Amino acid sequence: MDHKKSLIWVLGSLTNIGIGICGLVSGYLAIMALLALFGQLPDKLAASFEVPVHLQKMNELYPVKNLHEDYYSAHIEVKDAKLEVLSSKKRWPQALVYLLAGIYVSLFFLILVKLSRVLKTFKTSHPFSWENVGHIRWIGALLVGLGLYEFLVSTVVARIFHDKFRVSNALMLEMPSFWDLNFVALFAGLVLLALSEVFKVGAGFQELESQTV
Amino acid sequence: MAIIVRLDVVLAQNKMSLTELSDRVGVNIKNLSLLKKGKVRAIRFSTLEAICRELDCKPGDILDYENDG
Repeated sequence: MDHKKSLIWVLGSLTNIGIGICGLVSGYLAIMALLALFGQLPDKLAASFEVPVHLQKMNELYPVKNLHEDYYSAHIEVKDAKLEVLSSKKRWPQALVYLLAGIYVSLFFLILVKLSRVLKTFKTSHPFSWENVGHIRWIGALLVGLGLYEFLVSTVVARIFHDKFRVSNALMLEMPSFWDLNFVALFAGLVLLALSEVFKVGAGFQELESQTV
Repeated sequence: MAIIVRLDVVLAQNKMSLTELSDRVGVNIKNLSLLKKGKVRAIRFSTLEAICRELDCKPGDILDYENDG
């Protein structure tokens, strides 16, 4: 096995592992969304998932604002910080968070599936094919979508859960700003969209080459 | 198609099979078959040269042009 083949094999294996992990996580999140919707989710678990969105370090007790009677508290541990989350008694916000997270992981899943198909063509045939043009264009569009989706979800989740966290020693939920946009994903997506055009030209040349005797 | 491939005619004149020509010019028989049927988009000068050498003909004997209009 030469150097190039080894690299493609390693990339292919990593992609397949990623697909497996993303598939499992998406399935887990879908089940959790359903459990939350039917009110079967344990309070601590329900609260824990609300936490990782736009967290900032705080050194002192963050006062509870606009505490609503629809919410009740649940204590959870996040790393070295203690967090008191005011978990919703309503079912839909929990289910929505799981659903949005599930869609987020599914986007990664789709990107990895497309990447795996591109890598397969490196092993079996020529990479400059019309299928790869489509796959690379999809990956680019999904990365742009991922960047925008992250921002959208952060905004939606922050709007839903803002002022519903009581934080001791560390964390609070904040509304995202323009600078919280995932510029790396957006840039990578645009680069891949441009690269798909290069592959389009390459696929044309490859087709001409294969039809030349 | 305006370009007509007359490889079958030249092959018949030389009493040579496509398989034999394929062996002599070193071009895949599948590709030569496609060339014979006129189902290719381009032909390399090297391939044309090898075919002309083996069939003792000129490119004009293999390729012809017909005006569609």
